[in-house]
Amino acid sequence: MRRYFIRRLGLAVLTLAGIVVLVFMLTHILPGNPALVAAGNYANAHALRVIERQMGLNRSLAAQFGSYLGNIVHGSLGTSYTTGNTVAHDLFTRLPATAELAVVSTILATIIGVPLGVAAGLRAGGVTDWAGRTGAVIGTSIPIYWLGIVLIVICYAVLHIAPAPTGEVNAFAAMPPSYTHSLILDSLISGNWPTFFDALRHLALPAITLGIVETAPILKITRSATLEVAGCDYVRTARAYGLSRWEILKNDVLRNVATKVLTAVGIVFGFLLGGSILVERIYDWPGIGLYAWNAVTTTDYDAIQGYILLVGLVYVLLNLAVDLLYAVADPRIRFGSAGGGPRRRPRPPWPGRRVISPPWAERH
Amino acid sequence: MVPVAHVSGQMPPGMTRRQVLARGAALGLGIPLTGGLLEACSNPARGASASNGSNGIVIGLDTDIDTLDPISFRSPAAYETVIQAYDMPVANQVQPAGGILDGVPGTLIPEVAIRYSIAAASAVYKFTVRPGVKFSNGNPVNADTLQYSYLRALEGPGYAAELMKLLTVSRASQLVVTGPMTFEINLSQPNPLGPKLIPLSALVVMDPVLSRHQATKSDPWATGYYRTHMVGTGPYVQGTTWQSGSQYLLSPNPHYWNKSHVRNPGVLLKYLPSADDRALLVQQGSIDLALGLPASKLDSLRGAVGVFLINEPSRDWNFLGLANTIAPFNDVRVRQAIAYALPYQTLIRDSLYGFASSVRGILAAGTPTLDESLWPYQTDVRKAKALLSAAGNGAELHSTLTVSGSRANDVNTATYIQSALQQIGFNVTITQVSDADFRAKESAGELPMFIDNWISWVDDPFYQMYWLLASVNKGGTNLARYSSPQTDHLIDSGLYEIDPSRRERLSRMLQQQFAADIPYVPLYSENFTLAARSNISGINVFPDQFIRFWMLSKS
Repeated sequence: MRRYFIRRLGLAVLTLAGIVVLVFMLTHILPGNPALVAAGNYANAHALRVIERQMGLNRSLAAQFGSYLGNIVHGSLGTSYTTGNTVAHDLFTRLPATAELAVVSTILATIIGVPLGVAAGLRAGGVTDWAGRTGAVIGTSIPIYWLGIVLIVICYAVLHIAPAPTGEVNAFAAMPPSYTHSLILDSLISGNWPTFFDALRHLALPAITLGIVETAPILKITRSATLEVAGCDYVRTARAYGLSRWEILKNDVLRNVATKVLTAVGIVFGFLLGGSILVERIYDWPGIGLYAWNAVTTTDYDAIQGYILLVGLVYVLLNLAVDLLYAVADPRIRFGSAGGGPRRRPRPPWPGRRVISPPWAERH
Repeated sequence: MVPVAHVSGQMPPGMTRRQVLARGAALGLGIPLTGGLLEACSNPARGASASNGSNGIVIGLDTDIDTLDPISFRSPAAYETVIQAYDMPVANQVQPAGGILDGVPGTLIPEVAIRYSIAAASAVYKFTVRPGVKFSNGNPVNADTLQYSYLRALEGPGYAAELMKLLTVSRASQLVVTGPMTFEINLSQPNPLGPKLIPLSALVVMDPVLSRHQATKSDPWATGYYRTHMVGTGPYVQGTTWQSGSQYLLSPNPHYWNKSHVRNPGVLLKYLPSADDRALLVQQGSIDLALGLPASKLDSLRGAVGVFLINEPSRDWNFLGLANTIAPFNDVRVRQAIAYALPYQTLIRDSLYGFASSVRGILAAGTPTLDESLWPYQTDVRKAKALLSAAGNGAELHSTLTVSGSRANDVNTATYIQSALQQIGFNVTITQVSDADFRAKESAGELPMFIDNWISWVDDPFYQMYWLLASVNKGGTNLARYSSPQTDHLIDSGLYEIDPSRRERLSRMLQQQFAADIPYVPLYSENFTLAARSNISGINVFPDQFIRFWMLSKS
């Protein structure tokens, strides 16, 4: 297990190092001079040279890479010239807003997607399956920006049941002290109930937008996993033993479907933690997605690099966590690795324990 | 076998610790979420309302703040924000005009300076500081403060130095403290631009005590600090809500010396890059003012209930930029052909939906000394074809017209230009790029043909012509990279000319020269426009074409 853990960790570090190099190269080979943008139209050649020197653009690519690495090591990730803060500070203060959105929309998608997927898988070819598949296709095909705009028009402009899509809270709301940089948590901690409920109201529509789009992959994966598990021998055997549908569903189907669903939910959640740029842009949601949008539109190199690095880090850590969870969940990986054998990917659904256990063990 | 059977799903009596925790967490998360969603759905009026009933004003901005340092801000939002927090020694007087309050160029009223003497014919400007004026941090203002402020503008790392140069101040010794509360600026020569430059917000009053405290060896002017902080003597201070790239709250300055003039309890600036969003939000009453709406959106708001539009002529000079050093635009006949080919009235009527005025020459309408009779270019396709044919020897010409995707009016106009030029045999490919990319390529001189605008903060013909035409500004504000010794000589002669009649004659000569060389093709002057809720009053525009928020009120 330890060897497996060290190997996964080493791979994660190597991946991160690759991301660091790639991000730097990509942002520096792109056309455009950020100093020109920063200098503005009044700048003459001298002023431009001063700004280039301040930004370190007059130095060699290797030297620039060196200071970029230095910034990473120091944890500042450079300075955003549009906000004037260190990129690390900007990302740190904006990540909670994105996390709020990611958590709530993932919960919504899971609550809707998993039961629907299971129901569709168990009744393959039936009305529920047809409805589930149609919903999944629609959810996958809808462009998220279109869905966001439609929901704004319907819920905000026509029905007046949603607040204005202008961020986390109403204008002039009393802001709570910033403990966590999450408005919901901060208002909860400080007992600022009007702001807390206002923040929840503002969270609803962007979370629903993301939730609808997220539901589709979760539903599809749950359905296919359920279909696969429901056709397995051990489920058929369990049925033959006369176990109730609920017993079979709970102990044989859901347990085996869970691994695949958890992986899917984890990946979707990781994607959302990287910030849904379009949704944050549409709802003016002050998370890291909107930060990335602003950075790209203003050619803010350090901010772009910092954002990509953060997203890369989130993905690497999430994959690492999933890999480690596999090992925890599947003894074959654990013991296979410990024995020095080739790493075995999990192949859920693994045989249910009921199949391993003789039927009389259940009865007695 | 028994242990296997035990873990295989036999439910033990009662709940395990893990189940208790899981259910507790689900309950903890579920109750507030459900409560919030129910609250959202059960209170439609509140859900759709603007700004929680306060008289604070919510303004939708089309650009974001880049830096708050008054000597180096660039974006309109930054300018708009900075002028709300800082004062100048003197300011422009306002008077009602066309339904708004209009700042009158060159007519001054005391601000931080209670007494002043500023005259175009004089080379010495004298100020007496108003007693009792304090910065928002409580530090007092005195003559040293004014000296430091102008010194920072002169020697600090911003473009304010260029304005000081135009003011003919190039040395610190020209900034003299003559008493505890009296201060003088000794110009190198009498300067007609002086009374118009002094009220500019790039030359604001700044706190020397704070600046020196925040300065470092590598940053002697504390630019790092002022990039994100505003500490002025003006009506507002930075509020508790200050999220870069999203929203900025301006709260009343507790130390403001002129509190009775502030007509609202605060202003929330929301950066809303989408014009659709700004239009929708002002229509629904979620914001009170929408700035920077493109003409098509303004047109869609005509007649909207609860919304009124401001549509006043301005000095926003819009032009088709032609790179004078790149073929085929290095041939003056091609530039003249284009100027004859463009359908100016169609552009104003159809592309700008009437939210623009015609311009005839290098100067915006209303600029002193403008003589429209010197402008020969009316739409004349036959003449355009003849000039183009002579220039290209019958060969078909082609170029790329670049526009910034964030400027919807320019994107619209580009298609009309493309169509008009096609009629004379000049094929144009339109390229839309991001604003940052556009500015970078424009400054680098990489765009052969582009649409942009210029707003002179100073209502003066030579100020505009200096920035747009002088060789010394090539690659900077002289975006066409135009260079003409004769034009340079005329600008040098007229810039500081005190005699009005001689100045007018020089200006006319320059306008003629511009018409002959046509380095840019003037398109139209975009009007000063905004959409506001009908309960908003006190809308104003100053000579720098920006609004002073403290005059706004909400009924």
